[in-house]
Amino acid sequence: MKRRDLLPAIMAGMAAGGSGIAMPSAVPATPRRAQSLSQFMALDPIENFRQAMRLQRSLEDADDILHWYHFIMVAVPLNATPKPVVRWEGIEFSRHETIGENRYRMHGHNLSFPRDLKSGAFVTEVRNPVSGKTVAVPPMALTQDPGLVRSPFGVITLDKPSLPPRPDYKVLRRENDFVKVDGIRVPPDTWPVTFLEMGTEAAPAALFDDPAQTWLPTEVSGAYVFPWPAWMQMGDAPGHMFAAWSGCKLRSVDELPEEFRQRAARDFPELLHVDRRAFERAVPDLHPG
Amino acid sequence: MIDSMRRLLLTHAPAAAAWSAFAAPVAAHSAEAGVGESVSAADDGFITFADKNEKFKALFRLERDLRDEGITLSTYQFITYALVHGQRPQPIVRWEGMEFSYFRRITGLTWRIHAHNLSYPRDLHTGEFTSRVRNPFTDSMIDIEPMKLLDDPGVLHGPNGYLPLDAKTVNWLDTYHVLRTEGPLIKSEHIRPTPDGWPAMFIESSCSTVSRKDFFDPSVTALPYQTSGFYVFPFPAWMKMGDQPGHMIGAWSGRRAVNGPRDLPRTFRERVARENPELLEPRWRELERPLSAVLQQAIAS
Repeated sequence: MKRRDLLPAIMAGMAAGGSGIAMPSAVPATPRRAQSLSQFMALDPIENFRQAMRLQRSLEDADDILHWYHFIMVAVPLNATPKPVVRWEGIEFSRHETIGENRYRMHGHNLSFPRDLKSGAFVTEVRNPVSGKTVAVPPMALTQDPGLVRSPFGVITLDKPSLPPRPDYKVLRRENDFVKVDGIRVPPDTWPVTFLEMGTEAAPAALFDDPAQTWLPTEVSGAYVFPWPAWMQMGDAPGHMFAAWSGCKLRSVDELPEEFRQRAARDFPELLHVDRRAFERAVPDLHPG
Repeated sequence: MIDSMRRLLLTHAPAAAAWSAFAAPVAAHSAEAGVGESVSAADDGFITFADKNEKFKALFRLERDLRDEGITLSTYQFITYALVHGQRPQPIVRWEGMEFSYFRRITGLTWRIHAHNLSYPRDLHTGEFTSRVRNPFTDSMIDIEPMKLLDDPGVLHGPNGYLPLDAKTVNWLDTYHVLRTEGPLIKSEHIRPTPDGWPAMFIESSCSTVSRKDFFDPSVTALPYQTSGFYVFPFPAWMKMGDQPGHMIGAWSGRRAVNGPRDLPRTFRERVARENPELLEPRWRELERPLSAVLQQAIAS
């Protein structure tokens, strides 16, 4: 099931609804729906977890999950106008394996390349719009993820495995031809305070309603708040960064855009695979939650 | 995205050793009037336009309607977060809302746009309509009202950007707008400027998605879209944050209600019909107010 095969029809199909407006827009002809649907899904915690897992990853006992996205970073200085800084194109490539009933261990990595805000060309430096300085901006390749365990009780980050799971926020809802999960991920208390991540992932409702589909194609969007990165050279200036992404879940690296995939294959070939050795590391004192 | 830890680390762990400064050129495509020249199905890349007029037409067709007079209704849900300087950001409340805009071409490629917004607060966890939420920073329950934005002065929108109708000088506000292809989809990324007189801590950014089939169909003057985005804004009065330094962020997910008010989600539409039925109609009288001399000068030039 490829996203590229599905989405055009869904995008066309979303133009559903009744008639009767005084000045209808000149939009493509589409089937009409008696009622526009928007409904929160009342699921028990286990089913909520399983369906969120299915949307965000898959329900297979073990699976590699690839997300690809563009995102734009915005500087948010205190009491001043926020300003866009740089575009990125990147992937998150991860693997999960079940370690118990409705309990999964996950490891992964991210790789992103900076792109010019306007032209979209790969860049090596950008202008910091707050300081006015031109700063070098390196690719972001992260392979030091400690991993995590996810269950209906929440998330345990494996650098602090003995701590109880942190509840996370996942609300599922139907919107016409889509099922969406809104998620908010609150980081551990040990992290810098200026951090939060939120997102929405949407799959075609027709596929969601087919229980045989353990992996669902999704469109993803979201944002995260984070402290000034070192490359911004902001010193002690009050404020933070904000980034908003738009992307999708893909089945394989073969579906990545050619230019990104070629660069990743040339510069970081090992990151086009998930390093499964991480699963061989024992996790002593893992909280049972 | 499964792991926000990686995102945190990435902001502090720069410089992969094997990085090369030399990259292949970005694939770029031309698109005349947003619909003219096809882009091959295998391509992913940034779309370029012959000039700013063509680029503007693509944007206006995506966000509004290229006809002389039209409406755009969008429906969305968004969650607002409070960011207090030096403290962990916290989600506050979910909203369900609509933006209803109505516009008329006044000359060439310039349209006059008026709009109103209406949003109802919903409980973060249950999704039920609510009128009280907890402010985690003051640890107090606060009353929260529906959000009605009815005083938008209106704006001119054309290839030079935006010109608010209450502008005292002719200073078109340029925007950041990029269109790119993702296989069968076209994505439009748009960051709006802060007009003069607005709070300093304000920015709004969206990413709207349309099918390439619709995008390259010249008979479609108003493109059906899915959209997501965010905005940064000061603490609203109902948060009762006093002089605390910080701000709010709202992150939304929504779509164009292609067939107008009947395409709004039922519970939302029924509540609007019960409480403010007039807001389910375009307020065309807004467009009858005379333009200032400054605006008339802007149009004439």
